Amino acid sequence: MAQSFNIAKVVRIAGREFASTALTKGFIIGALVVPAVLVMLIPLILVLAASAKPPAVSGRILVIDRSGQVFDTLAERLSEESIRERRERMAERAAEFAQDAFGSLGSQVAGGTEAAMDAIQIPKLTLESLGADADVEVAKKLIRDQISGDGPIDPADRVLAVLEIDEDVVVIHEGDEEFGAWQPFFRPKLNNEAVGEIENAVEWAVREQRYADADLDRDRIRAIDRVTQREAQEVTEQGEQKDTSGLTSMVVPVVAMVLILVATFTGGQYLLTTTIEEKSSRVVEVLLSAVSPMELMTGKIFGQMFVGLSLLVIYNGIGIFALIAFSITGVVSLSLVVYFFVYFVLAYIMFASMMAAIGSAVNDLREAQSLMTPVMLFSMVPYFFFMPVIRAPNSTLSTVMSFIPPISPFIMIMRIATPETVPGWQIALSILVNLIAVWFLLWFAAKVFRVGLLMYGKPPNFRTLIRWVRMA
Amino acid sequence: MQSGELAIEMRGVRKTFGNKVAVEGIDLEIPKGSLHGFIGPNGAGKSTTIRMIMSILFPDRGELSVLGKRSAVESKDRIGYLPEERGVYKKMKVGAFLHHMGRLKGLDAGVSLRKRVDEWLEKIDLPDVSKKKCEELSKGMQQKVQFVSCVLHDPDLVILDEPFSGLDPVNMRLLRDLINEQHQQGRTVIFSTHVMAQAQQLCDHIVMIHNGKKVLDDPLDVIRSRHRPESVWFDPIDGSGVDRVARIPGVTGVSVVDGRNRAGFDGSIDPTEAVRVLADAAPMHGVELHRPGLEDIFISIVTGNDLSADDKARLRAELRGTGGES
Repeated sequence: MAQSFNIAKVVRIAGREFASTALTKGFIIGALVVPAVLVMLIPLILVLAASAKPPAVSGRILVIDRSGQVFDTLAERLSEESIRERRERMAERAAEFAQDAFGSLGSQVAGGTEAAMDAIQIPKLTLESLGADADVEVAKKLIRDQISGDGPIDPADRVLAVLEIDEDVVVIHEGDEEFGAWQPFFRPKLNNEAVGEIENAVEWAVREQRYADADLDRDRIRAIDRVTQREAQEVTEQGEQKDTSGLTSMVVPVVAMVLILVATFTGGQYLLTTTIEEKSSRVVEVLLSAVSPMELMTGKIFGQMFVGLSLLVIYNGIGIFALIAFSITGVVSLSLVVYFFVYFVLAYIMFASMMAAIGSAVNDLREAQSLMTPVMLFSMVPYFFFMPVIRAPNSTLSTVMSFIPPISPFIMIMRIATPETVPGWQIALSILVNLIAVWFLLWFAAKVFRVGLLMYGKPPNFRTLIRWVRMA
Repeated sequence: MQSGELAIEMRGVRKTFGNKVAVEGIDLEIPKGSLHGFIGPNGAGKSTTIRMIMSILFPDRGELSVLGKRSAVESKDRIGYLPEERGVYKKMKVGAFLHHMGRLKGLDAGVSLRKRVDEWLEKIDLPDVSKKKCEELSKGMQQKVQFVSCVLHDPDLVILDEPFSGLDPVNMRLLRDLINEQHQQGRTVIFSTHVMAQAQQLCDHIVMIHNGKKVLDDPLDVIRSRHRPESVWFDPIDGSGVDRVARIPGVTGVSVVDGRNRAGFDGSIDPTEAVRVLADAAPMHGVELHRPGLEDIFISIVTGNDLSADDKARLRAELRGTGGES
């Protein structure tokens, strides 16, 4: 049957579809306000995460120092002032690093880091030496008794750890090749910060004593140890710039793929919902008196495509703004942006066709779930394969997957975004294969759409859908 | 009839859904400017026939032309259609919805369209709803809005599928007047109903459909004259009157219908003669010839004498609109 195709009506349908989806409070909040608020909240989240850490630990640490050389240095190292001083120095260094790396934006990050450091409280530890000949079992029994004992114990009295340090930990016995060791026995469920602090302090103290015993200058050894690297540079035609290989080979491909996926499924999901809504509110036959099913479906698909596109334009805009803010250039080329939109349109139309077919076939969203499962599986494939594809963009696996619609657009955009060159014929072929798939899926969807819209009652399965295609 | 004068023409149209034959070999000629009623019980095939006229469904076999075109698709903007399965965009404002439908029907946007929408809303007694969301309207109000969306663009052909279902008596009368107005303005109007009384009040031509087949297609007055009265209502002064009437030669039986006595008679008595004979037989408050309605005609056509009294009662209830909507 010959079908008229009135472009003005299609545009009209698309316009309503776009307006009723994108110009609503829900969409604007979901698509714009929520991400913006999240970004602004990052420093606050850092602080909150830090302050959510367990309260400062206080208690006793019993040391059996059989060497007799470590305890004093260790006690000094774990004193409250010493710990505070170290923390402050660490915060300063983090702030400097952030400033260097991110410029003006970095100072905000640095502010967050400092606030986070302030929020962590300093543990109060009392060190007690049990002498060189103490029995470790007796000391351990103290912890055990405290745990099994009734009644509360003053936090300052709690034994947090027993440290047993070998006699030859600083000076090697004659004939031996290695130094002695040390062993901590902790109270159960002691928090990680405290454990880390204690372990680092013992290491520090032992090493200090070894340097002294060997008559070595500690500062000199540290200077020898430190090899400083200046910021990596890429030499390009325009001159030198920051090394962006990490960004181009990992971040950009994944972000491009995820953006296309998000936009495709946002548009697709809305298409499914509005189609079901039109069917269940019975407005669809009223519409069919004015437009043909093909005009209706095309209008709806295009309307939601512009919803997806506006998301992409906004998010890309933010992304490009961020790159400029971090003064990173040359990461995203114009051709990449063009391919990005080409592959989005291809991916979107394929998934939107499936969504339109499903939406027209069912009576409510719940019934759509079972038909949606295979579609959702397709959408997960790019996530499973992004690692192997990014690592080896021209491997057999990557190449083969580039020609399998409907996942092909997601794979191709990742390959194109990596620094490696994808052969031109592969890009052309993948676009061709996708165009064929687009044509087939639109044809299939149009058939299902025409029949499904007026079918109420029992939800269909795939066999029914294929019967409808034959029928239409 | 010249096909140029026909709004709709159908020849041997058949439509099946799987094994079920929905419409079987329907021939139909609907002249321009007429007011046609499609009647028949629920599931008779009325909506399927209408959907084929609208090119929403396509016939398996047969030919069809609408406003001189091979299908309604080519003249959609000249047709106004109120489907049986109808609805509105719930979240859309009434004015915006009508504006949208008007645009889809080919009207130009602008002041004139907005004015036209406002005028129509005034006409259906809903002058203040333009800025309200459709979901805030009652079902009956929504139905009137849908009627407006169907006639807003001044179509040549108006097709209304069960337009009265769900309306209260006041709005039923309003809608009846609006349909009459469309007819008087020279438009071709087709409407379907399973409630015979509505067709009787409105139409000048009746198409009866039963089990997917056309069983009657005549002007209302022709149908009336063909089906002459075969019974008389009577109201005797005392109880013995009923027995006396039953004994009159030619009277086939006396029954109580809707709380009134009705005497049936065979072909041996002329209807006017029957009234006189009954009045003579016993003292009466009144005697009245019973003119068969579409309901009776329909039941006699489709059932003959094959149906049990219970089934007839059920069918009658459905044809009066009390048997439930579908």
